[in-house]
Amino acid sequence: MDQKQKFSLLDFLKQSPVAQAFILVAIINVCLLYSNPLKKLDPQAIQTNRTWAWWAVKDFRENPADVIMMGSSFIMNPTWQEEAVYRNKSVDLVVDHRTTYLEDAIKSRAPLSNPQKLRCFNFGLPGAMVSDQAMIVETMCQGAHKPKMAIFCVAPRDLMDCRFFNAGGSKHFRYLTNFTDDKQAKDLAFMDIPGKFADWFSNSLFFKNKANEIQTLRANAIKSVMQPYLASLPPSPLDQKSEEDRRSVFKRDEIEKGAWLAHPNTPYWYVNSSPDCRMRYKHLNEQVFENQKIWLDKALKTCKERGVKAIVVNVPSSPEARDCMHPGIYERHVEAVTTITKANEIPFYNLDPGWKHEKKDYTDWGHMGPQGGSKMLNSIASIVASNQDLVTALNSPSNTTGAGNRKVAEAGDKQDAL
Amino acid sequence: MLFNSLAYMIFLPAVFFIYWKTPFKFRTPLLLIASYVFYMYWKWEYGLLILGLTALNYFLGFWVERATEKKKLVFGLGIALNVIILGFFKYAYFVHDVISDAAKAVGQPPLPNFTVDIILPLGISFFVFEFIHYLFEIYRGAKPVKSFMEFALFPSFFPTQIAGPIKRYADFIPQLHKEQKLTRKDFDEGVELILFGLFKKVVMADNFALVVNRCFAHPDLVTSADLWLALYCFAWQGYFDFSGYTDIARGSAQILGFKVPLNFNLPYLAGSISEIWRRWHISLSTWLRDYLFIPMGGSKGGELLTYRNIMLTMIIGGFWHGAALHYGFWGGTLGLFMVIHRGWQKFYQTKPWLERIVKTKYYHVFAVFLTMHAWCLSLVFMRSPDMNVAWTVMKKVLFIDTAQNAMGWWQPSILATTDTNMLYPLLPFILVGTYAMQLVVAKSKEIPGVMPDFKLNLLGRQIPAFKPVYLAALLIVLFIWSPDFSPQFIYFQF
Repeated sequence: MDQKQKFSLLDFLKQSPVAQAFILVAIINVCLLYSNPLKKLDPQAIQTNRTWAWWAVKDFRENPADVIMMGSSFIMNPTWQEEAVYRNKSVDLVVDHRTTYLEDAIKSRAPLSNPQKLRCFNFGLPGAMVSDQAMIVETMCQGAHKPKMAIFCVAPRDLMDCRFFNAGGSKHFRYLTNFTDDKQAKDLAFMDIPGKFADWFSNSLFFKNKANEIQTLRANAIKSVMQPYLASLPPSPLDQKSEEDRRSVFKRDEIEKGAWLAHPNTPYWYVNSSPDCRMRYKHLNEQVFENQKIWLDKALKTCKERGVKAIVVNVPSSPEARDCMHPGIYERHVEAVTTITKANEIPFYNLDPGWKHEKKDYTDWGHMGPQGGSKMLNSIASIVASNQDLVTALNSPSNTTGAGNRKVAEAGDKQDAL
Repeated sequence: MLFNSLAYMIFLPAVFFIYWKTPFKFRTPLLLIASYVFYMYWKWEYGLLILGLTALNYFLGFWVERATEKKKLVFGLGIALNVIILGFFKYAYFVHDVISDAAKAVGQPPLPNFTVDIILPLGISFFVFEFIHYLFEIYRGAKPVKSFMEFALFPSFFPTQIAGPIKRYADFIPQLHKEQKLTRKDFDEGVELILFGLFKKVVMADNFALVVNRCFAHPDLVTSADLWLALYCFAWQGYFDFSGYTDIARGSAQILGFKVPLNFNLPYLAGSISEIWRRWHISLSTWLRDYLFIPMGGSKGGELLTYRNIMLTMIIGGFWHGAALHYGFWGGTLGLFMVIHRGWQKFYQTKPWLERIVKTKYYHVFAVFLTMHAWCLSLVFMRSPDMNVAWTVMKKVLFIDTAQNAMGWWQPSILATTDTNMLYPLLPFILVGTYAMQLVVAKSKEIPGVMPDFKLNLLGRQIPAFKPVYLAALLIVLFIWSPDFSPQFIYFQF
C-alpha cells in the first residue's frame, strides 16, 4: 500500500481491473441474454430441482389423473396417511401421489360410467399457498395431462400466512415457473421491493438464471467421461439408506425417495404447536392476502378457459387454529373465497359448518391425521357425488386415464418440449 | 447478516458510499452504528450484550491501569468476569452434562434439568478474546483507550465482528486516528478479496460440504475410501470456508481503508502440525501463544513442562471451538502430534546425517504429505457430531473396521450413488486443483487472495489483460457453481 494512487472516478474505468471485470461480465451477459445459446432443458432433467414439486410433477406427468386435489400439507398429510391405512401398506409420498381412498369414496357415491378408470391425484405440497395451486393449474392442467376436475382445498393460512411474503418466494412456485412464460404470473410473483429486486437480479444475469442448466450439462458431460469407471463400481450402499437417514436430507430441501413413508399402523397423537399457529395468524397480512385473492381468481378463470371443472373446498379449521387467529381473519377469508367463487360461478363448499371437531382427528393445530383425513375425503366425495356437473365431467370421455393414455401424455410432453 | 447474503451485498455498498462521503470526524460514529445494525440484524438483544461487555471492559481497563497495590487482583477479576460470561453462554450446558454424567457414573443422582434458555450470541468467542487481550496489554503497561466510541468499535467493527480475525487494539485504534483517502488500489484489492472470498465459500466450501455431510451422516454405510475423501474434502471445506470468510472481512475492511490481520498463510503446504497451526487461523494461534502458552511458562521450564503447556493450550484451543468433548479431543490430538514432532526434532538434531536428510526437498514433500494426513485424522474429532460417530469414522479410516458393505474399502460409494449430486464426479479433479492453486499462490509470493497483476505480451505490446479476465471468470463461476442452498460459515458456531 506504499504506492497509493488518488481515487479518481474519471480514470477509474481505465485503471481498475475490478471495474473492467464487471464491464466484461456485463458485456458477456448482455450478449448471452440476447443470443440465449442454451436450449431450454426439460425442468425434470435438472437434478438440483428435486423438491416436492419436482417429484409431484414427475409422478403426474407419468400418471395423469382425472381429479387433482390441491392444497398445502393440510391436505397432503391426511390424504397420504389415510392412503397408507386404506391400502394397508406403506406409501411413499415422494413418488406415490395416488389417492385410491378418494377414488373409491367417489365411486361408491357417484354413478360413474367407467368407475375402474377413475384416478385421483394428491397434489398437496407442504407450505403451498393458493398461488402455488394456481401455478399447478397453469402449468399442468393442459394438453394430454388435463384433468377433468380440480379441487382447490383452502384454509385461511393458504391466503395470508404471516410467514409468507411473495408468491415467487415459494420453492414450488419457482420450480413450476420453469414450465410457463405466463406474463401475469411473473407480474404477480413479487410484491415487496427486496423480492422484486432479487427477482430482477436473478433474471438479468444469464449465468445466475441458467446456472442449473449449465451445471446439469457440465455434470452430464463429466459423468459420460467417467462412465467406464463409475459403471465398474457396485451399487452404492448410500442408495439403501434407512428412512431416518433420508429424512436428514430434508434439511437441504432436496427430497429423496423413501424419505416420507406413511405406515398403516403408525399411531398418531396430538402435538401442541400453538406458537407456530399464532405466528402464522398473528396479523391480517393484507398485502399477501390481496395478492393471493388475485391468484385464486386467476386459477379459477384458467380452469374455466381450459374446460376443467373446479370446486373450492374450505378445509376445516380446528378450534385451536380459530383461537390462534387474529380477529377477523376467518370471516374475511370465507367472505373473500365466497365472493371470488361466486364471480367465477365455481361451487364453494365450506366444510366448517356442521363439522364435528374431535381432537383425535388432528396431529396438531392444522394438520389432520388419517382419521381426520378419512372424514374430509368422504365429505369431498359426497360433494362431488351431489354435484351433477361434476359427475357429468367425470363421465366425459377421458384423455388421460389408464395406462394406454399415459402414452398419449408422453406424446403430449414431447409436443410441449417442441 | 451473512457475508454471502443479498442483504450484505446491499449493506456493504451503502456503508461504503456513506462512509467516504462523511467528514472524517463522523466516520467512527458512523461505523459504530453500522456495526451495531449488522449485529442486531439477527437479534436486537445481541446488541445489548456486546454493549454491556464493551462498557464493562472499558471501565475494567482504567481500573487495571490505576490499581497499584492490587493490580494483579483487579486484572484477575477482569479476566475471570470475561471468562465467566463466555463460559455461561457457551459452556453452561456442557458443564452441566459433564457433571451429571460423572455423578451417574459413580452412582449418584444426576443434576436437575437445566432449563434456562441460553442463546449463544454470535461471535462471542471472538470478541471476548479481544477483551481479554486488551486487559492483558493494559496489565502489562499499555495505556487504555480513552474514547468510549473508539473502544466500542474495536470489538464490534462489522467486518471482523462475527468470526474474526481476532484483532489487537494497538493495531486497530490508531487506524481510527488517521484520515484515510480512498485509493483505487485499496478499492480494487478489497473488492478482489471479497470476490475471491465469496468464491472460496460459495463455490468451493459449499460444494465440498455436500460430500462431507453425506459421508458423516452415514459413517456406517460408507467405505474407508469415502471417509478419506470426506476428510480431504472437509480439510479443504474448513480452509475455504474460514479463509473465504477472512478474505471477505479483509476486503470489506480494506475498501473502508482499514487493515485487519492476515489469518491464513497456505496451511496445507506446512511440513509439520506446529507449522500448520502457525499458518491456520493465525490470529487465534498467536492469541493462544501470547495469552495462554507464554503466561503458563511456554517452553522455558524444561521439556516436560513444555509438553504440558502445549497439550493444555491445544485442548483449551479445542474447547474454544465448541462446548463438546470431541472438540477437546481434536485439540488434544493436535497437541499430541505437536509433542511428537517436537520430540522428533530433538532427536534428529542430535544426528547430523539425519538432519541433512530432513533438510532435503524430498523430505519436505514427504513431511507435507504426512502432515496433511495427520491433520485429516485430527479432523475426525472436529467434524463428528459426537464421540460415537468419531470412533466409528476413526475405525474405518484407520482400517480397523473392515466391514464395508457390498463395496471394497478402496471403492468410493459416494461417486456410485444414483441420487448423486452432480458435482461428486468432479471431486478428484477439484482436490488436485486446490493443491495446484496453493502452489501457484506460494510461488507468486503475493498476498493470499490477491492475484499477481502481470501483463500479457501480445505481438510485442504489454496488455494488462489477465486480471480483468481472471476476475470476470471468478464472477461467472460464482454465479454458476454455487449450490442453491448455502450453509452458514462454519466458524460462526464458534
